[in-house]
Amino acid sequence: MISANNVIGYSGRPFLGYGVGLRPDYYEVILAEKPNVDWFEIISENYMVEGGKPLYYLDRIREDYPVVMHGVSLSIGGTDPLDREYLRQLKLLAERVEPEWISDHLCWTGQGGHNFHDLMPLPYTEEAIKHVVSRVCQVQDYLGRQILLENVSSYLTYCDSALTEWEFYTAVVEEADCLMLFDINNVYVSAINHGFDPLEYLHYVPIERVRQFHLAGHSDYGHYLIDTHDHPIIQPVWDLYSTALALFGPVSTLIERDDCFPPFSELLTELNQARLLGQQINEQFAGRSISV
Amino acid sequence: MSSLQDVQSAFKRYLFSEDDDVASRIVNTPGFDTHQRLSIYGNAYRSRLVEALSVDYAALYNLLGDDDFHRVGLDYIEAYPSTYYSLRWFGQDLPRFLKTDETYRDQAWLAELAEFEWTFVNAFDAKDIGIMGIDDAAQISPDSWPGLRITLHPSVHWIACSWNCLGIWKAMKNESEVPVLQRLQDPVSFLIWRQGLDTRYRSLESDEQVALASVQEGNNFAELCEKLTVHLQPEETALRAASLLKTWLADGLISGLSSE
Repeated sequence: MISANNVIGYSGRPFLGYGVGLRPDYYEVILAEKPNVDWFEIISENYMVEGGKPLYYLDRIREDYPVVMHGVSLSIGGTDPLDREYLRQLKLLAERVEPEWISDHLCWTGQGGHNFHDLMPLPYTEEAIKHVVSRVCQVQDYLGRQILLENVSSYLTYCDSALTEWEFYTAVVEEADCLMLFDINNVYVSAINHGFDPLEYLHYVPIERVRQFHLAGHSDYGHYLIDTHDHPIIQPVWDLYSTALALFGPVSTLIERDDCFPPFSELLTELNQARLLGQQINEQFAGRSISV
Repeated sequence: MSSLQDVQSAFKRYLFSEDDDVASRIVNTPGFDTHQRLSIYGNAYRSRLVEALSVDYAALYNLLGDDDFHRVGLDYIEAYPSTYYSLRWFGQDLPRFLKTDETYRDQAWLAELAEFEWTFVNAFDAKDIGIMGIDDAAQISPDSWPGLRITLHPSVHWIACSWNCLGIWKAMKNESEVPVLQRLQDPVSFLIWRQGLDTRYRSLESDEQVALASVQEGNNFAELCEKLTVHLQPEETALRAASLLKTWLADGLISGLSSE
């Protein structure tokens, strides 16, 4: 099984390089062509099965590439009790995959025993911080490792919210002592939908906790955007990515695509663009020391 | 109830029944108002689940078309909201829903086609267990055959069809024209299983179905032969049972052979 070089960059964080979300449409081309991808990210729930193609391809691809696990059903902000069976399955999968890290979303996904299969926004309140922090601690204790939480795209703001999204996100990860999967596209989408300055977000978050970036496309409905992962990454998101790199230093970066799957070569083109931008930043930062 | 629980419950009522109490807790903005914002979540909730059903029940979707399938999907979502952490399992109650719901139960082909497709879904990712081959059976001593117990691979299932489900399913797979729905002159049973990574199917003779059911009930080889007397003369059953076992081994249906 391949392990990452675990390059500890000058920023002090583990650096996996440039990865792509592993999706069934690409299994065969990955095995056949061994593309120049540094690592893959799986949707954890898609491999919580007993056999067949999903686990077969996962195991084969894991032999050649580092893999991280990304979940969608942890419901860390939910008010139902944590799903112990889900956590058991997550841990079992982690034992099989030996992922570099495990992530999920800063959101809630269901209520009253029902799963909405969507990433629902939380109110940015002290009550929610306390609630989420307590649950992150339970999950990290159970898994025996820190987890990464990702900022989600959102389409509404609760009247109860007393904090900005970035204040809330920062408070949660610092108080729970967990890490951040920073989705650049989600910051952009939410900035348009809520009318905030994405740079303010970027300047606020604790860069030492950022382990991974997500880059993706979205759908433009004129006066709002939806995070659909079915389009190429647009230039303003690339620009925001460059800014984030300049602020944060090298961060493991992943291209996400979940619908309207193009040929894998098109994702590699986007990946190479991310790699090029990352390398340019690395050269600029070379020799500098970042305190994290 | 905490304020967080309260807002999540209100949001759920919006998603499940369009009760818009939650709207009063959402900031209204000119040009992109609360109801528009909420509807993004409402639409995403339903469309994601209907899409998941359309993948698992692609032949049913093909046959019904967008509008009718969407209606079935929405009715199912209301009757069986997901309790699963993975979308993999969300659709598992659709055959039961179509069989029992008063809107759909009179159209028996709906539940039958759904059950036919769900059997493939289950075979696709059933547990990986090693299979026995002809050589394994050859090592069983003649004295042990009557007490032989056979374990089927976890992916093995069969389903009886009274409608042309296979033709409709094949049209979906081949992206060809969907045949007209037809009731079959006589029901046909299909065996569905996974061999290696590939999901397979074939029709079942009625005596083979009896034999498989006997194996599934945990009967030994002698008891299996006894069951076959429904279809065959007593002196023919052992030969037929041995022939069936050989076929099953060649097809990769058997994951265990043990003698008492």
